[in-house]
Amino acid sequence: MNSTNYIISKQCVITSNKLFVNNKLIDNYSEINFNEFLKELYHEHIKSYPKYFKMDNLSKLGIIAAELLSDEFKNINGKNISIVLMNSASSLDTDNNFQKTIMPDNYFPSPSLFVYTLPNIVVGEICIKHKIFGETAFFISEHFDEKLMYNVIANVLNNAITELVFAGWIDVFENNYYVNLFVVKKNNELLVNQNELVNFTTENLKLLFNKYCNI
Amino acid sequence: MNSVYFVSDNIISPLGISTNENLISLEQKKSGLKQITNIDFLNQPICVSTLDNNLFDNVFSINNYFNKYTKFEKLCIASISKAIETIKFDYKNPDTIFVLSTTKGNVELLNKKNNPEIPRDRCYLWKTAQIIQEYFKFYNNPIIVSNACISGLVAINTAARFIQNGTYKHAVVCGADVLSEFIVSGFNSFFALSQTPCKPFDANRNGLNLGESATTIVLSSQYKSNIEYCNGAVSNDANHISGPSRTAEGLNIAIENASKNINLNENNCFISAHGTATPYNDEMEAIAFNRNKFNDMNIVGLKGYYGHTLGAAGVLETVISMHSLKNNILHTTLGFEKPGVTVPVNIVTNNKYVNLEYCLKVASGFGGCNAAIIFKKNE
Repeated sequence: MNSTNYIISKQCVITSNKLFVNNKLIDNYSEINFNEFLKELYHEHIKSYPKYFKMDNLSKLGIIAAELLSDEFKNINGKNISIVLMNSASSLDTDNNFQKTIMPDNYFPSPSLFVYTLPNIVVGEICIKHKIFGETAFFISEHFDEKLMYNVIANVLNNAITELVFAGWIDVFENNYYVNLFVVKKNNELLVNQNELVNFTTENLKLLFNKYCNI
Repeated sequence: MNSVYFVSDNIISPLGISTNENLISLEQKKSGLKQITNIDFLNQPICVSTLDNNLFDNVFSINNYFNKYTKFEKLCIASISKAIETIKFDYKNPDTIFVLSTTKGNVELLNKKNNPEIPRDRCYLWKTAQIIQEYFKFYNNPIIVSNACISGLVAINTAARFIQNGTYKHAVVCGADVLSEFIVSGFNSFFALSQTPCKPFDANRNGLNLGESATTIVLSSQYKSNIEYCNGAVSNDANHISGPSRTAEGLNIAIENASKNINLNENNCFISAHGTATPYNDEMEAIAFNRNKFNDMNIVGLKGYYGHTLGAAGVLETVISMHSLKNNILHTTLGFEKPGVTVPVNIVTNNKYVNLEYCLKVASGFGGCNAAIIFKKNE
């Protein structure tokens, strides 16, 4: 199948204490801090998954965004779903927290924190929650690299095994964060709301990404 | 679809600064693992495979500015230099992509006391990749893969797919990680470290050893060699972020997807295992091999020579394995004595001189990720 037949079917953006799905503002908490915001998002969208509170902020953001896109995965076998994520800070937010636990005067490293010092743990958390067994990859890039993102997603979808890719940017460092995740899948005539669909192209990835950069 | 060949490589490890030196050490069953007892932040010994910091002063004087690089960057630059000098291709043109595989890069810079002369933005993996890219003047922005212990295989797989579909003609894939207080403390907090040389698949295995390496492999559709990339696949266990699946579901999917359309059997193929020598990893791998009816297939584990080199491991073990195919030698799985997994496995216990066509290389890591790649020898 040619990659021109692929569509971006749903998008979730989390930035500046706001959450958008397909350009629609769903949550807007202006008066609270980042940690309180993450707690509100849990109560609003996740509800019964206490594991959430053991996760680092990168994983929490990924779990929230995946939940809001998850109706797209419902009828697809987890073996046919792929995840491709990218960010700038890798796991440095948690790396810094772990570093504080190995200073000579304050040495108490814990495995439950150390495991989050890898960027791909958020991928594992999403796979566990949504029973996804397919291809996964995590790339590090100073800025959103729409060309790399496009090529990797196209490579995965061109492989007959993958039907749907959950992909995008998920970056957090201290109180700065930007999540822009979306679903790319093979076009299907049975889909409703055709006018909400966006063709899967490098240009559209760039547009979808930049739209929220200055919010 | 273009064919992808493994055309050049280099390994820098405690066993040597060229692939050849490493292969000679392996054939002689020399290990890079050493026990260290006086670590100021641990009250117990550890067994690691580390590179002497003076190695660079004695062996590499690549240019006068070399001191502005970190140990990680020096290793990558030295390994890439050696891998590309043997084929003398124009790696600066737009047809070449540089792919860096690492888990932690310069993470030791998070401690203010370490290398105060190095700017702190080098903690960012893209920054350290940029420094390496600028050294070589690669045309394209580097691709940086950070997927825990499968990073090296994801990097090779990503590069190979880009060459297959014609996006690039050549790829320089470098995998590297260095040891730091950060990494040692973390693995130690998991009780994952063995104080003695590790024992992959053995009944008495009790954990892994950490190791350092930078290894580079050059993939190309234009230059030929007798080793060709066949296929690769990645999967997730969807089970646990720090423990492997008891049913080996994820690794099984990766092996099945990678070996689709290829008839692998004990007469034409060997397995280069991940074999970290932790109780759960090796058991999980054995189950995956068993599910694919690879009970009689030769299995080689290399962690007894190098320890677990993290982001370098997939690249390092692929390079050794492709030379195993080329040179018709399967290396002894150092540390293995008696089987310690619940299903039958055929571990190579002494150097074996056999002519095989395929290698199945696998890896698994934190986050429940698994990878398998297959490459072959053309006669």
